[in-house]
Amino acid sequence: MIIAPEPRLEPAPAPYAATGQGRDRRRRRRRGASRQAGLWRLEMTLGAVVLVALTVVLTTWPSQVPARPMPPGLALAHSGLVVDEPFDRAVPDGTLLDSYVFNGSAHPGVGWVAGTAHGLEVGVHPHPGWQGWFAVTLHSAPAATVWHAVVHRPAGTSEKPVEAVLAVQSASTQHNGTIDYVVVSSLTVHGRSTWQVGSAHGVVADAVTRFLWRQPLRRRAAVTQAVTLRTDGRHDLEVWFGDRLVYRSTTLDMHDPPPFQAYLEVQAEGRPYVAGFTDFWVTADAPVTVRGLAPGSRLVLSTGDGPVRAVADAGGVAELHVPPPVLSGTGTLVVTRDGASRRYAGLHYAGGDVIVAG
Amino acid sequence: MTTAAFDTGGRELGFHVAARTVVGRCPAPLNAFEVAVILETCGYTATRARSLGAQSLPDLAQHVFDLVPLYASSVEREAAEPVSVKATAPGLVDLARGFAYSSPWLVSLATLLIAGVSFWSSDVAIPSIANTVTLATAVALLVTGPFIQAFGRRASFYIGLDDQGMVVRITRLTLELGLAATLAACLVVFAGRDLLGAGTPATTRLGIAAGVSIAALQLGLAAFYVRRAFLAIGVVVLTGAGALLLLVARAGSYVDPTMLVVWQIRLVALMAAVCWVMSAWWLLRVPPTDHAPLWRPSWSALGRAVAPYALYGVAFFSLVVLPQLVSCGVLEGRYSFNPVFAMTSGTALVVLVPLLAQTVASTERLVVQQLPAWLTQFTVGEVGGFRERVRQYWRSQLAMLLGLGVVTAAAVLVVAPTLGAKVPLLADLGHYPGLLAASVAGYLLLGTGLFAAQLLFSLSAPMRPLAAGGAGCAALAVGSLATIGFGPTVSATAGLVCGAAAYAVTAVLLARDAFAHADLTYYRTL
Repeated sequence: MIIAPEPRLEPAPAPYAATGQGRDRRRRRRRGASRQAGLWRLEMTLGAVVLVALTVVLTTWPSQVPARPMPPGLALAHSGLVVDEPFDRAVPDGTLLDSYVFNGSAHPGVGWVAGTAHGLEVGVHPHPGWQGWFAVTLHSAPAATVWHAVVHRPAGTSEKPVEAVLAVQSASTQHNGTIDYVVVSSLTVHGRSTWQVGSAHGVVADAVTRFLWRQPLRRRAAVTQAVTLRTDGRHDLEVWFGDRLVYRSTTLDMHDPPPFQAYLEVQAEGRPYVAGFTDFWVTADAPVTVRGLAPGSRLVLSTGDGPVRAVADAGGVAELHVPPPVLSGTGTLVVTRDGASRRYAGLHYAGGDVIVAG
Repeated sequence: MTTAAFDTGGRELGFHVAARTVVGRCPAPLNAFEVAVILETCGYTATRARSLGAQSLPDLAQHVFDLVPLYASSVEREAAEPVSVKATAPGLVDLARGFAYSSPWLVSLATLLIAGVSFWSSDVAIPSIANTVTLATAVALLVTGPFIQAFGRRASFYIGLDDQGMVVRITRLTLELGLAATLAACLVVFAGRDLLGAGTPATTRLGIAAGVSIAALQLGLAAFYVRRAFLAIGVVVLTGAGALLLLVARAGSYVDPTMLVVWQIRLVALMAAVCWVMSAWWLLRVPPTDHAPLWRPSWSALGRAVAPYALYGVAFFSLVVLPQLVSCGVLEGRYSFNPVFAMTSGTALVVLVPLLAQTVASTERLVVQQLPAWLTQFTVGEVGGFRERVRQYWRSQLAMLLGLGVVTAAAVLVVAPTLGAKVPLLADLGHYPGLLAASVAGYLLLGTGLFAAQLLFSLSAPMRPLAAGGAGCAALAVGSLATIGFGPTVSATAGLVCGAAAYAVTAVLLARDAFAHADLTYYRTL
């Protein structure tokens, strides 16, 4: 838009000495003008500051990690948790869209997502051909991260192939269209089901999956599976079902550039299908660090996978190496020193956390 | 019987008599040109001017105008430097100044491309954010347009009068009120979307922040344009763009698109804040003479004076923004970002760059150099020659504009689709040659209409551009509604082409008429 301003005008002329005419009588000072102008300038400056502050407040994005109150005597100095979504209550679509993008090969309306009390449900309505829908995390996480979700598939069988999928994919897909990911999925076809692990590469819709591990197709395959995986995107991949390590390799050739996003996904051939996801968390692949301890203190953290022990070093720092399947959870921390114990119940811990005691 | 002393006194006396005569007819002449016209209508000729000691009638007018403040209420002065009376085409410096006018949005587009931000293209990572930011931009442009036009027209006038009080008043009436209006509009739009379930909590807040920040920057830059502070504009805009690019570079190979958008909006807000502070403490500060003005208009009078400019601002920005809203399905009762239309129309927008530069160059040269030169040369009795000069200038500038436009349009149509292989954001452009061609034609017409409208504004004829803008909006509505059955993309493109065509044709015809009937009252524009 162009503004055509009026030209600047020159000040009034000097008086005419020869005729004795005096100075322009309007050239007298107006009382209070400078003060009013100064106030206006302060008003504009204050407004500018308010504008910036308001913008920062309004653009602060909601966290996918709820506040974690620590037991008395402990303080959370640094959180390693990236995502913590139990999906144990209904969540409006709008709220979900602040953390996930819904998309897929199916048309909007055919693919759908709902946050229910039974989990995050991702599904497709009846459609032609092989189509799918997913909820992908808005934010990404680096390679040194553990990903976990409990994946539910419908108990029934299907003759046509259907899949419930947890995939960890390079976030660069959104920029260059390349699809590089590792995947854990439940496949059902010809009335039988299986769980499988794979690695895929491709561009946009042409990804080719190489299966690295799979169970045989069975009529009674697990309907629900707690899946935990860890990968560096290049050579390493570990997958746990529950607390059981089902696949591990350090010699893969994957070329999946970090950071990664999680895809909670469903695919189906022709028929409607739905997959459910609960207890979805993503956390740093790092020990839980406790600081501020007396040197030599003994720590025991009870997790869902048994106790984890550590001893504080000379600097009063202890590192609890929690197994990946339970790297985020709630447990009880007991700190013992010279026969005296202090118990911290209800501690919500996660890999990468730095907790300060005392 | 002439002595030096007597001659001086006699000449001065004659000038004072002429000044009283002029003031009797016109209590507040704007400049020496107006004084010359009044003197001529009162019977003063070149011969009589020489008999009073002046070299010519314009010279007499200048002396008389200097005396007017002693007898009347005018404080305005004019400072027309003598220049060649021959109409000359704008040079490279004029064009460079024209490009400088466009620097904020040119830098914005370049930054978006370099940063890989996708609102301008088909590559949309997060639809909810794309919807929010594009809608916020549309709201901000539509609401601020009228306020910016009104401010641009009146602020420099009061700056010229050294009236800080009126500068404050016009700033409050236009820029500050414009920001408040944008905030209200954003609250209504985004809270409404939230209530209807079309938005999300975070994007509702983001939309309000984006709308207000963009509006604040638009309004904040207005004072820079009025003061022609191009260097300062460049510093502010390039610093902001540099900060964003630094952020992108430090983020590594992958940039979180949500964080990028958030930081973009925060940077826009920061740039806007800097602009407002600079405006208050520097650009809108007038010399501390603080003289009491004889006439200070009421709020309502001020509103009436700026209304035509404000309404034109509404019409022009409607032509720019409404096609985007139509493309997103507003006519179907929804808003979802249309990447195809955004990509084709965004690419076609490049056509406007040289057209805007030529428009600014032509307008500046006309107002600053040509009109003062012609008004010095011609008297009321010689209006025929004056009209011939004005018509010549209009035709030559229009021809140059169209030439520039056609060359640029051809370049965009040929080159842009080939960039798809190298620029991922434009990857799909080659699939839509028809839409691209139509959008290019639309912006070519829009630029032509803008050129004619700005020249009319430079002649202080706001009603004609307003009529052109109104015709354009009506045609846009008809074009979009008539083609709604073909889908929102076609409907939006048809609306853009029809609206821009009606705007251009009307503005060019009205400008041709205005220049054909030129008279010496154009001194009022100076």
